[in-house]
Amino acid sequence: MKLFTLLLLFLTLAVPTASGDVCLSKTYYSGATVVHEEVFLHNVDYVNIVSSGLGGMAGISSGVSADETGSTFSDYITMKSNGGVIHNWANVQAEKELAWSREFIASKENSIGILYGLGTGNANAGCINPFATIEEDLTLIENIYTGTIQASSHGLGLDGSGLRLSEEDTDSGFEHDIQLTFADNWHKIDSEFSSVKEVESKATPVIYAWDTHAIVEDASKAGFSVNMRTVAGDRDVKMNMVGSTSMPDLLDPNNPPNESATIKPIKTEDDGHTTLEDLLNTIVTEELYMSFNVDL
Amino acid sequence: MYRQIKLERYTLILAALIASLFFVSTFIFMSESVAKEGYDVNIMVNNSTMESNWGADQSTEILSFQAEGLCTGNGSYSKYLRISGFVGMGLKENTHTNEGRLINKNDVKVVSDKRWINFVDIVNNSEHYVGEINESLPTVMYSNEDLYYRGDGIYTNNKYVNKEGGISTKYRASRLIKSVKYGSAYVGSLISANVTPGRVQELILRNSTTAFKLASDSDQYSELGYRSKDECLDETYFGPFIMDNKIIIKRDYGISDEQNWLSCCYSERDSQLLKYGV
Repeated sequence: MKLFTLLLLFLTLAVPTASGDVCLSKTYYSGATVVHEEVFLHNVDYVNIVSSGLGGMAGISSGVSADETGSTFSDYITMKSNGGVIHNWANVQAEKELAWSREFIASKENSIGILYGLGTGNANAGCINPFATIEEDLTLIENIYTGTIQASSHGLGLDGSGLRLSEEDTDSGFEHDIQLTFADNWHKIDSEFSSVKEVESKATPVIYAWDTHAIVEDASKAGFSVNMRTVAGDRDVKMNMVGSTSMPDLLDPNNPPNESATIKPIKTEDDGHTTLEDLLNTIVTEELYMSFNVDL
Repeated sequence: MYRQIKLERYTLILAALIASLFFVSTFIFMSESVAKEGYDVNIMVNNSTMESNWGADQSTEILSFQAEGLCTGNGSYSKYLRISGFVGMGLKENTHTNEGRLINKNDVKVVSDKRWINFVDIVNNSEHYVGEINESLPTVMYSNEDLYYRGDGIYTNNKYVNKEGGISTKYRASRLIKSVKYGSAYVGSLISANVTPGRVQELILRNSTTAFKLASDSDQYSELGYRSKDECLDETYFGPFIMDNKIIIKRDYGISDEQNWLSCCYSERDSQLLKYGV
């Protein structure tokens, strides 16, 4: 009997205490508009409020990591109406923290917006309307990124901003691919940044930031760009941007869309002594920029 | 003679076949607009050992509908009537006769509107879901039927349903006099759910009223039934019987939404709903 009690106690304590998952699948009908949302949450605190009245529907939701042990969310929302279908999504896995909010309005004008932010982790997000798609894929290591995705019947927009300002002496970097599909053609920019420790001394932190901007205005105009800049410290920094498109006419044959830069650290005195001049020499700035613009 | 009217999720088929001396029929149809309103919600909460699911749905259309009919004649007759999709309210009638003398008078009215539907979802640490749905979807359904038949045989089956339950009548006779009045009014609901991986707690508070009045004189078979989650009534009679029954069900959770009537949004449909006290 005693053995049984001990076994029971062991089994009780052995039950894993990891947080669970929540899936919400909701469809709202209002007149000629149908809104469908699919939300998956892991280790996340979340609030969602939707109101449907005579004038239409509106909803706002937000979520944040429950703690720093890693979180995941997927938020897919589709709105069907007489103006066509618009769709936004964000699928984010963060090793530490994440946060996001989403709003939609279904009335005479339909719109959906998602704002999300994360540190180290992965993200896939995008938006679709009847004539265009914007999608981004992200892998982040020890930096932070904030993205805003907007969709309406008339246009799409994506604005992203990444940053590393931390003085923590760690390797970091990112991969950021952004793709625009518009008028049956696709355009893509793949960006990559890495900062790896090379010198065994107290390093000057690498500071870098990058921005993405994509916009689709009606069915006639679209464009997107990526800008990457850094102030390199005592680290081996590699920056790379590769553009590609299904419309070769957009490209300059003498100037292919490849931008790259490599910054090697300047070695300080072997005895570890660092002069002011050494520090100043480590500050190297570099900037890469690439864009695609389509006018029909 | 055959008439059919279709409205997206609303279907009314009224078929009458009169094969003898004379026939009189009047039919009035009014519809302001058709628009689907409602929701479908499904929630799943799990952890490594357990999983719980909860769901709720509602569907209606904003419209005002009225149908009246009068049928008088000698011959055989067939009628199929179905109304569904108004916050769970609906009615169904299936009548067939052999040769005989028939008088059938119908009056069906549906008025439905939306004031609001509000949703709140709260998730704590992805393992505890709390949800609330507060809806005001005032809807009235009214049906009045008077029937007289004498002949080689009649079979008639009526069903009146809402989200709480249903009332049904069934007759087989060579001589039948029947009068049925059914009215159902729905104001709104407050639904709340509390879901964890191992447990689902749900509370549904509804404001609704149902009234049913039946008077009949049949010579062969009569049946009356009422079923809901908690109540059940079944009456079956073989042989000549006269029935006179009344059923009234009122659910009121005590929260009035009258203060939410906005002057900007007051419509002709609202005045029709107010006439029925909704």
